[in-house]
Amino acid sequence: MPNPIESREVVYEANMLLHGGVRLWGAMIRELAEHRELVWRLAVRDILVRYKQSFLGIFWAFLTPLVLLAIFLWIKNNHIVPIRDTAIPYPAFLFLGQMTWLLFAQGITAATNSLANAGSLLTKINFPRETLVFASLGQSILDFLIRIPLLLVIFWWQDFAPHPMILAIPLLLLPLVLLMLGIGFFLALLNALFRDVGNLIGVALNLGMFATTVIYPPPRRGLAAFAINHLNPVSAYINALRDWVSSGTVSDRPALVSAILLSLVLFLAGWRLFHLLEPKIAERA
Amino acid sequence: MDRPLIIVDGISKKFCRDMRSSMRYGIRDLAGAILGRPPAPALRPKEFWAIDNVSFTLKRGQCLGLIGPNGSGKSTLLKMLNGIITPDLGTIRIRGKVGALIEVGSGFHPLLTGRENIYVNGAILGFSKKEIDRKFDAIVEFAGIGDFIDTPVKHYSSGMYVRLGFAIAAQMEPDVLLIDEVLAVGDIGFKTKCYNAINALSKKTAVIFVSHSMPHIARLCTQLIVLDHGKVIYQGDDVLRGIDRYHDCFDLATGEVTVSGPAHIKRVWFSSPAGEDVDRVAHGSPLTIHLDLSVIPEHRHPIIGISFLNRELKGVAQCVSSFNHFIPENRDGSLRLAAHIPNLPLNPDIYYVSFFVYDEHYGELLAHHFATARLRVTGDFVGLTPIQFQAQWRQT
Repeated sequence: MPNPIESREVVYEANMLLHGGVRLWGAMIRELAEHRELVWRLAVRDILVRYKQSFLGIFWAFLTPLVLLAIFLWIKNNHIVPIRDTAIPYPAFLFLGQMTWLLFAQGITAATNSLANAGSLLTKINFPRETLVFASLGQSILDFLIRIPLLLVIFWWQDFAPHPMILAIPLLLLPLVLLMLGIGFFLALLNALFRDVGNLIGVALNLGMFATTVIYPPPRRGLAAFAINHLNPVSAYINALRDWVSSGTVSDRPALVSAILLSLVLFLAGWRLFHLLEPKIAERA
Repeated sequence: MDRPLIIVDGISKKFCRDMRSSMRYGIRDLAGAILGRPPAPALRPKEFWAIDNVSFTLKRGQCLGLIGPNGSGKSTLLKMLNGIITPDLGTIRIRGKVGALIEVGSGFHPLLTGRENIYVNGAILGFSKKEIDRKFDAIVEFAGIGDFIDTPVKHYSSGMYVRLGFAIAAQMEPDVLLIDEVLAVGDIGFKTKCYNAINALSKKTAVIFVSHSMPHIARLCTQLIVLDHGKVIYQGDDVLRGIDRYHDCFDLATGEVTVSGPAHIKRVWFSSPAGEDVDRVAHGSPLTIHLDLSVIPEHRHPIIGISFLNRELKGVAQCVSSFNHFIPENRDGSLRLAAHIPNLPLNPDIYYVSFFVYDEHYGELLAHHFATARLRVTGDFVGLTPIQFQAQWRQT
């Protein structure tokens, strides 16, 4: 019986961690390409499951940012916290920041739980575990897309015409997604070992929103300003995104470039580490 | 075609007895691995070899049986072959598509319908959407779930769940098939369907079959590995001898029993026609069961029962003194009895033996010693049912 697969051999042996080198990248990319349909299926599954037992369904995607929008508009308009004027109308400014932050935060949360929630799939079936992490981002990306019409409504309400560069925003979201994957790979592994990580991440993300330029424009002075503008890659993406929407040019190029580089490095390191360590961690957890 | 599909060379795997040390060792190993230091092969405190130096090769059309008592390492070995855990020593080489019938249906999501789960599970097992589209009708037909295909699987019966899982896995057309006791559930009709499917698959695949059911092992396997505490204690193609070695793993001491009550059995033992004590007997040979018991004197004519139980502790045969028209005479509260069975019709296997003492009306139970002795029946075959008659056959 001729069989093309038969010519391919898999080898399982001790110390597989030490093998690979550059050739392993090729194997990892090929494996992902072969399983792209599985990534899609798993993402669709998670989305289907989420909406199956929900009455309001996709409206939940609007609810969280709208509630926050209302709260922070009230805070700003009553001068409870001084927030300096922004280049785009504040509601649009805030909503853009929130959409992006929620994409990041939801994605990280889902990726962190992707292994821990897979249950018997991990102990019974052999398939590339990376697909679980890749697929876990599906929900947050879908929610981001669902929020776009609401963003347009806010633009219309504020009588604001965005710069045409808004159409290029997917180019900024790509490195952001890589950053999410990179962090997600690390956290998924850690959470498979210690479930505390999942809880910790919830707290960290809540605080993280205030350390990111979501509700306020980039601060100008002080150590905190440096940390928020230059050490936090999510701030860099959000700032660049708003710059494109308002003027079409990025004001802080070095911050964006370093954020993109950081995202790329984290993604590659996280993926490689996950690929190598996941089998070892799965058998201990 | 004749190259082996599986080459396993000296693999070992160590596990740790407690979670804390396991985590500690794990982190140390991971750190070492990242730094490029291979872990030491020696055992550390609280570690043990779950699999110790196993080697074999398997070709297409061969079926390897993997048997051993609970905890002997069968599932660990199967997990290594499936790539779910990696060996600590040695190498596994597998060519071709690997299919696994290990807890089928474990990838199902309860909220999704049967149809949705077929696509998700199929994708996890490595099918493309086109392939699943093509096989969809065959899967539904094999599973026999009909209109339930668009019902969420959480409303399925456990039988339907397994049937759907098996139906998907059976459509994989694998080169290497790993099977682990999948057929414990489901009705007789479906079990037969499964075994026929496995039988058909096994002709063109290399099969590794883990089971506690010796009749199935004897029927399907061309070779056998018997594991005990991670070590290979038999390896070869004499399947009956392997099954015999497997039975050796079980402790066969006949029990001394101390229970107080209106009656109790002090000692039981088995003997051969030559009069020597035995713990095994060949199928179809004579067996004598000796009983040493005490019964309070008001029960002058107690009734004694002996039950043979299979490994799952279900009764398969018994002999009762009153059914055999034997009435013992209890004069001083102590009785010695012998029950002789001229040709034991039991299927070669391990049996537990229970003893009962009733009053003379077969009413009050005076003593019950559950599975206190074990008897091993040997033979040159392994049948499917516990009783195998020695019939006189002739052509008519």
